[in-house]
Amino acid sequence: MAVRYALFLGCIIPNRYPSIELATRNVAQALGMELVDMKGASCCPAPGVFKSFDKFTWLTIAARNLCIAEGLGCDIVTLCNGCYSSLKEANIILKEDATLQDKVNGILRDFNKKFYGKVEVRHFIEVVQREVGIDNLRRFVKRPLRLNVAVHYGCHLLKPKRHREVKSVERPTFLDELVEALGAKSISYRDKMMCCGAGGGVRASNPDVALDMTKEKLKNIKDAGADCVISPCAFCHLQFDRGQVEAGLQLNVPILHYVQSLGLALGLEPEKLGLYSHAISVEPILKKLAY
Amino acid sequence: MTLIDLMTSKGPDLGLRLKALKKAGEHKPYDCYQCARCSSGCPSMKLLELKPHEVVGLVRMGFVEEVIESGMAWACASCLKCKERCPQDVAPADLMLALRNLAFEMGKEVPEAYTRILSEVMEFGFVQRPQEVLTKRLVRVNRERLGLPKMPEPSERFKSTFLRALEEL
Repeated sequence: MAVRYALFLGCIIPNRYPSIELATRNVAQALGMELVDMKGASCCPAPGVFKSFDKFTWLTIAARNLCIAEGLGCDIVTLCNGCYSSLKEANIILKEDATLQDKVNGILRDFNKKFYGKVEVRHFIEVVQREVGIDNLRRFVKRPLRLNVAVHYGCHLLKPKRHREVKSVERPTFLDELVEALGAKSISYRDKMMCCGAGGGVRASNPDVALDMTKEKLKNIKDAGADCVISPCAFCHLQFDRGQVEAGLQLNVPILHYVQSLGLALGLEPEKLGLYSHAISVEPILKKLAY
Repeated sequence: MTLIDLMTSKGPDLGLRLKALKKAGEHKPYDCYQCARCSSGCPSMKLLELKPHEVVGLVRMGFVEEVIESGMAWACASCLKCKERCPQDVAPADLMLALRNLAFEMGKEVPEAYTRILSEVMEFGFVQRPQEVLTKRLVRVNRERLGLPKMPEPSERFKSTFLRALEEL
C-alpha cells in the first residue's frame, strides 16, 4: 500500500497522550502507510474555544495548518474528531468563499504562505476505510480482539452530515464494522450516540456539565457489560480516561483509541502501542487477550 | 433565566437581535416553529435551565442580552444533534456560538479558561504543553521515553500570524 499522508497531531495526542502517537506511527508502518510530519503545525485550533471567540481568527490559524500540508503535497490525516472537524470545515469554507480566502491569504502572504485548496482533510478511520478496506483489514488481523466493545463514534466524525460521507448520523454502523473486523464484538448500550461531554469548549468552561455527560455515558457502558470503550477521537479518549479520575468514578472502564485496538489486532506488542500510560489501566483487557 | 426574570428584564433589543441573527449565518432562527426536536436530543439538557428551542425563541424576540447573561450558551457541547434534527434547518448550536461571539464583543463575562487557552495557543502554539505521566507501575512516561521526536519550539511566525488575524477584529 503506497500511500502518503501528512500527520496532523494537534495538542492532545503529542502532549497528553503520546501513547496514541506511538501507536499511530507503529500501526502505519505495519500497514505500509507513509506518514509525513507537519513541521511548524500548531493547534488546529480548538473549534469549541476559538469559534466561540471569533470565527476569522479560527479560520486564519486553521488555514495556516492547511498550507503546511499543501507544501508537503499530501492530504492530512487526523486522529482527533476536533482537529478533523476544525480543519475540514475551514478547508471547505476557504474553498467555497473566495472573499474570505483572499482575506486570509492577505494575512498569510506576510508569512510566506498561501492557501490554494489543494489538499483534503481525512480522519484516520476514513483512511483505513479507503486505503485498506474492511475485507482487506480482516486479512491483516493476527491476534483477533476477543472482547466486548462499546463503540463510541464521537459527534464530529459524523456531523455536520452535509460535510461527511456517512449514511446515518443517528444510527451509523461503519465504526462498529471496523471494530468487528478486528475480531471484537460491538455491543449495544443505552444512548450510544450521546456526546462524551468534552466538546464545544464545555470541558474548559463547565467541567461539571461535561463530567455529568461522561458519567452517564460510562455508566450505560458499564451496565451493558463492556470490556472497554473504543473511540476514534483523542479528545473523547481524554474525557473518558481522565474523566473517570476527575469525577472520582469507580467504574474502571478501560479506553482504547481505535488505532491502539487496530495495533493489538495486528499483533503489535502493548509497549509499541503505549498501552501502559492510560489513567485507567488497560491491564484487565490485556489479561483477557492473554498477554 | 426564568419567566420571572423575563418579566423584570429590560425588554427586547432589536439592534442586538439583528446582530445575533446575522452572526447565526445561513441557519435562520426566525424559521423556527418551536417544535422542540432540538431540545429532545440535547445531551446538556439536565443542566440547561433554558432549552435550545427556548434560546432560539428568546433571541428571535430580541431578548439577546438576557440570554447571554444567563450563561447558558457555554453549556452547549456543540454535538450538533440539534442541527441535524431540525426540520426547518435552524441550527441552535450555531446560534450558541453566535451568542458566545457577542459575549466576547460586548465585554460580557466569558469563561476564564477560554482566555487562558487563547493566550496559551498564542504563546506556545498548542493548548497544552508536553506532560509526563506516572503509570500505575510507577514508571514515568513521556515523549522521550516512548522514543518520539521532540515537540517543535513555538515559532515566532505563528504568533505573528495569530496577532495579524486579531487585528481584523
